[in-house]
Amino acid sequence: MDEEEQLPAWRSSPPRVVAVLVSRRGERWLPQTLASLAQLEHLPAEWVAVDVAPQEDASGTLLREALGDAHVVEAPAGTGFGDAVRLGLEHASGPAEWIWLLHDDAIVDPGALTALLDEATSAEDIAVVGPKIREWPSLQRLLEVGRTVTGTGRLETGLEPGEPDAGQHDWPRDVLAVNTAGMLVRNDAWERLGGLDPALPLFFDDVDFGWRVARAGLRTRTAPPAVIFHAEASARRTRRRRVVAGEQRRAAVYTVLANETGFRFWWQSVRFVLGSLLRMIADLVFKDTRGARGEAAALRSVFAAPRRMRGARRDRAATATVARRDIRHLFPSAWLPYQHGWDVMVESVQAMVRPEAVQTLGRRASSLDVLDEEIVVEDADRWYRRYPWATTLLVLVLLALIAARGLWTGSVASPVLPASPDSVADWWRDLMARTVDGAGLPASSWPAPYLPVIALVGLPFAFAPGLLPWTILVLAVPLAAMTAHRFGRLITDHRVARMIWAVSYGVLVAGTGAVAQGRLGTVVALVLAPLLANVVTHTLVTPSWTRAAQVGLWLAVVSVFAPAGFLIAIVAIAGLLIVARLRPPRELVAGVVAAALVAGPSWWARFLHPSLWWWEAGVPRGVDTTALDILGGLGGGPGATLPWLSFGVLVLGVLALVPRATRYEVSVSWVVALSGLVIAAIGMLVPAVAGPPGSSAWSGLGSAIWIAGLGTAALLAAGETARAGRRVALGLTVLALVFPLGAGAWWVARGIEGPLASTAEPTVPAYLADQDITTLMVSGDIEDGVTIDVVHGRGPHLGQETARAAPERRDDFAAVVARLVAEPSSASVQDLADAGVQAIYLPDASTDAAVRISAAPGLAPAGSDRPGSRVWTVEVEPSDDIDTPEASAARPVLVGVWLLGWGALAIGAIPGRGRAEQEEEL
Amino acid sequence: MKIQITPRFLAPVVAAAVIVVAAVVPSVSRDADERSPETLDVDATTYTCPSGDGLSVLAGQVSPGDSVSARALPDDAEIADLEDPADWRAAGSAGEAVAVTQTGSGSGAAGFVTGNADGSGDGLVVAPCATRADDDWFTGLGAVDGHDSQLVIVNPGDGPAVVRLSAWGESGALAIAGDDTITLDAGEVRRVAASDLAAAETTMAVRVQRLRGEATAQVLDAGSSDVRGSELMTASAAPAREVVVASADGEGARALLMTNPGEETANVRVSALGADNGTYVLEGLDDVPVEPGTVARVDLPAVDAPLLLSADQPVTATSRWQGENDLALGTSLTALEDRGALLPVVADTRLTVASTGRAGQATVEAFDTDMNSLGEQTLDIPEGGSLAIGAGEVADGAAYLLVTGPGMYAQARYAEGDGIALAPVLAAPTAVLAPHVSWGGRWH
Repeated sequence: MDEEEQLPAWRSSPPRVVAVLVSRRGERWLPQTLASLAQLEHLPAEWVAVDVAPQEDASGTLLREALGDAHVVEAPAGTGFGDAVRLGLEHASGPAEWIWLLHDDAIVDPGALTALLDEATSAEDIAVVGPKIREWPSLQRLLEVGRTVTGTGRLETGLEPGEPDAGQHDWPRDVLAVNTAGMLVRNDAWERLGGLDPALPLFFDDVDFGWRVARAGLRTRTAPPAVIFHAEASARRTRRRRVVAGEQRRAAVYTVLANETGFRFWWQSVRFVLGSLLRMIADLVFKDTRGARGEAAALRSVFAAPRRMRGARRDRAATATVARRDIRHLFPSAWLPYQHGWDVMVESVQAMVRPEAVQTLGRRASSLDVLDEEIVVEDADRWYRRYPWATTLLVLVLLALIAARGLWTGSVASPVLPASPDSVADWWRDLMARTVDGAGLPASSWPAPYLPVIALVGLPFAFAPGLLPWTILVLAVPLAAMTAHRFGRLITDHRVARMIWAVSYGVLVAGTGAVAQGRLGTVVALVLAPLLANVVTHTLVTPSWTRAAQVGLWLAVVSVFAPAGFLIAIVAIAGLLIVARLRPPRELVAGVVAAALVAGPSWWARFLHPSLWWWEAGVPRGVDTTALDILGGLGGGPGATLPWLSFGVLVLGVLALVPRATRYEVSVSWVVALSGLVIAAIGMLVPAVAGPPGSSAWSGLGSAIWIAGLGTAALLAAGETARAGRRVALGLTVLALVFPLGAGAWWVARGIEGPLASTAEPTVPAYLADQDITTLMVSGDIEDGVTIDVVHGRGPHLGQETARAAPERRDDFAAVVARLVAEPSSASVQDLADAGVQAIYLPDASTDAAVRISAAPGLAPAGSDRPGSRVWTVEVEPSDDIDTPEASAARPVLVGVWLLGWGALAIGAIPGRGRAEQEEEL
Repeated sequence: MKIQITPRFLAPVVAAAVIVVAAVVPSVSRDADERSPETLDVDATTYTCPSGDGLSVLAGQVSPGDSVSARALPDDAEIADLEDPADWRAAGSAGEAVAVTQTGSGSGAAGFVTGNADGSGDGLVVAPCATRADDDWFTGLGAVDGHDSQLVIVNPGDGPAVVRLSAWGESGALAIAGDDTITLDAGEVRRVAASDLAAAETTMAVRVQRLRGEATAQVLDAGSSDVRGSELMTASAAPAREVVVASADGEGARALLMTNPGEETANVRVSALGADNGTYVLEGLDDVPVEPGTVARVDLPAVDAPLLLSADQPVTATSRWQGENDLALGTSLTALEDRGALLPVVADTRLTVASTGRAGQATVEAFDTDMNSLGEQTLDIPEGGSLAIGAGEVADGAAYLLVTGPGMYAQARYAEGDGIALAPVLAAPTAVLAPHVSWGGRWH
């Protein structure tokens, strides 16, 4: 075949192309841009340059030198791109068949115009052709090969950020629009459609034009063989210009609403309003106030000018010949915006939990933590060898599920852990209500310190909030191991030692007995402790207010779930500062103070009643703890492993003090360990709030920190001790493996069930619990004293267990019961009824208390489904003038302020995000 | 060799110190006293007094109360004569029983039935009115011709009351004829003849257990044959291994009736808390076997002091003194408390105060009906012995006596003509033992 015959027809009779170059303060790029234009294989028939704001730089001089005075037109500052092109065309010497639009910061490949004309003339209905645009100066990164817009008004190129050009998009295709940089547009189409909309001076003018082209029954094509290199001077802020807040968003909203038709116009209007509100909130969360202002300005600009919108829509209707549905293939999937949103959320969360500084820019720029690890072997190896830590975590998850056999119902409860409510709305009601009676006597006490956290985090589990504690407890080991491993990356490069350490830490959480007993506070605190250590370390090294907020947030969460964790943290930080001879950074102090402030009044009460520091989330039921338990990192009670299993860690911790090279870091770890030990030892001496009599408060958190600190000391010295010789290293490794293997085997073999169970054992006979009435429980006898509890329904749900009536009310009620047992009378029964008691339950009816209570008038014996117990129902109506305690009317407001405090701390902890305005340059 | 202590070893030393301290210091202090019972002032006292021909009710208190409600049951008719809480007052019996409820913190209200039980043995009756029955024991009832024992159960409350009856005879536990539980409506007075519980039992014991509501119980014992005269028997406390039983002096036949409700034979040693010799074992009664589930009867020699029964199994007992035309029943005594005990002065009143342990002192104060003190006597009670004093030796014209002697036991013997009555001197209900109530068994 003859080569001549393969050439496009236009080569023999080239169309008249008028190139319009628009420049605005472009002297920095114009020399190279003009030089590239001079090397074009096929030159336009005529050049016209429009110098916008000529007095601001020397662009005009450069243009005149290159093109001649007759081909340069000046335009006043503020002239939009479309108007500038229009002005340039007016000054052209003759009519154009094709118009080639050029930017001053885009250099063109010599064959660009040729390739554009090749594609433009390939079909009659092609009206617009755009080149492949690559980044200048890298020249390799693809910027776009056609563009479109999502339903949310987001510009979409379909490319990954930083995607290199390897020819993967080198085929011409129909697109909604192409960038005006290098756009070749047929003149008749340009005139028929009126060119670029003057209402879009900078952004989305190309998308709008392409949309109108498509509705006019014409096509916009890409011509990948045509290449230009774009500096994106405006987007990269290398071109000085006054940025108007929200200008890009305004353009997007205007473009979409002006072009959408029928129902979609109204739908998009609503969507933009709501979407902008959400974006404003998100901007505020990410501390991007400028972005939020821009959103508001964009809405105001578009919706406050309905006449302009009507005119724009009328103009587009006049030129439209094709239905919207016939061009829908030019738009991206409806799911794409949400995929981008998910990416942003994942990156934001990752930024909070990872030690490394992460900028939340870009999309699909990172992956989950488990995959974010160094690749240790060749890619050709199997997945589990390439990602050993991810594999380890997966194994831990599987073991956790095995250990949770019998608890796969998705809910957990124990004598320590009250069952979760039926709906997360109950937690919100507990927060806001002025009276809470779920725990017995009506009380107006301040909500549990951790209630805001579970109420907020529980939202995704709205109708099954039990999944939240279930997830935390069942997956406690892998979660703790994961956070520990993240922290481990900060403090050591020894991969194997770090993995052993992280697994040991995870197993330690279960080994304390905290999981099996349902000690949610300890588990949460231990899972978050590495994160807290992480941000504290960073705050000491590179203090910042965001770090301060992160310290405050994590310390607050730890503290509200396990207040003893606050004591441990304070002692540890103080000791650390002393050992390191550091002055406390004000950011660190601010973080600690913020944590204490946001914890709330019921948490502050611990300063007045120090024994309550050991009252964690849940019922403060004690255990019989020995010094050996504490020494072995256990909390005592059911589910705790054997204390001698951790003696290897003790030995390693002591040996870690020997190497001189790591002595400083090891000393810091010892300080942390001792902090836990001291707080645990004190807790051992504190009587448990909820008995049983003689038991001491749960100290598992402190003892776990003790062992974790020693383990960390061993980890820090691992490199040095390994130099003592192969045999010694082997021996130390074996010693280090004793705990994770032994305690891990214990954890899996025993399981975490018991006393942890799927459902809460009803405290009172089932029929009383089901009636949702308030029952007085009386145990014991007159000689040895009686213990009372007031149970509402099935008992309090998680979060209600801290609701306590005022001390004087409790004392008064105890006196009523004492009087009832001592001298049963109608007055005593009336007092009971007035306190809200509707039934009395004696688990042991053989006591003298039962005999006496039976004489009380106004009590009717009722059946009990439990042998040896007795139940009476109170037949007396409460008095009319009952004094039900009620918090002040300001309670909801105060709780709101409290929640705002949490919100402010959380927002402050989120790494700031510079709003990457993908502004296109003129 | 010189050992150099460097700071790096300080951390383990601190850790070891903490561990040692935690191990050595007692983990949690347990203060038993914190859970010991507390004493509460009684705010309201209700007692019932069986009515009968020739009987009247005396009402009084340790200190003036706030209000009194006296009703004749079952009609609920008010008895105005008894409704002054600041006086020692009397009224004739009315209805089937009189119920008195007196309020006032620590008032210590008490009532007594006195008089001659006309038509029911015609003997002298002086006995405390009954307070709420939790677990009352009566030994010495008879269900034979000539011995008419009548169990009087009263419900002074506003709601129904339920009691359960159990009975034992000389040959073993008795099956109650009919239902062994009795339900009484509010204000109802139920008189149950011993013969309705079990037929032809010469000596029997009855236990009254309150299951629900308020109920009081007493036994009106009367006879015209071997048992002659009348007596209102006050409930004895639950069986115990050591029991102090009132005993009457004077000429007559004496017997001790003992109930062993257990399942093993009780071997009982019967002693007297003598006025001169202290505690001494009665001749032939150093080891009296009482078969399980039976009531045993032994004759007593003449004694002039309360009896002390020591047994290896819980027992309860009543002493019976049978005179020419009247009988006296001595039931178990309970130790006096701080705020004293009341007894009315009726005819020839003789108070005996005994101690089962160390020597001590008791104070007897006499009052007139206006609650004015007339005089006071201090009694030195010998170790394991007793001391008797006539009311007239304390003061003339007294309406009642207040006996104070914590840990002592007291009985009153009344005589008028050939009538005789024996009454336990019971601590006035001024205070009640209340349990220490603590929170924290479940939530906090």
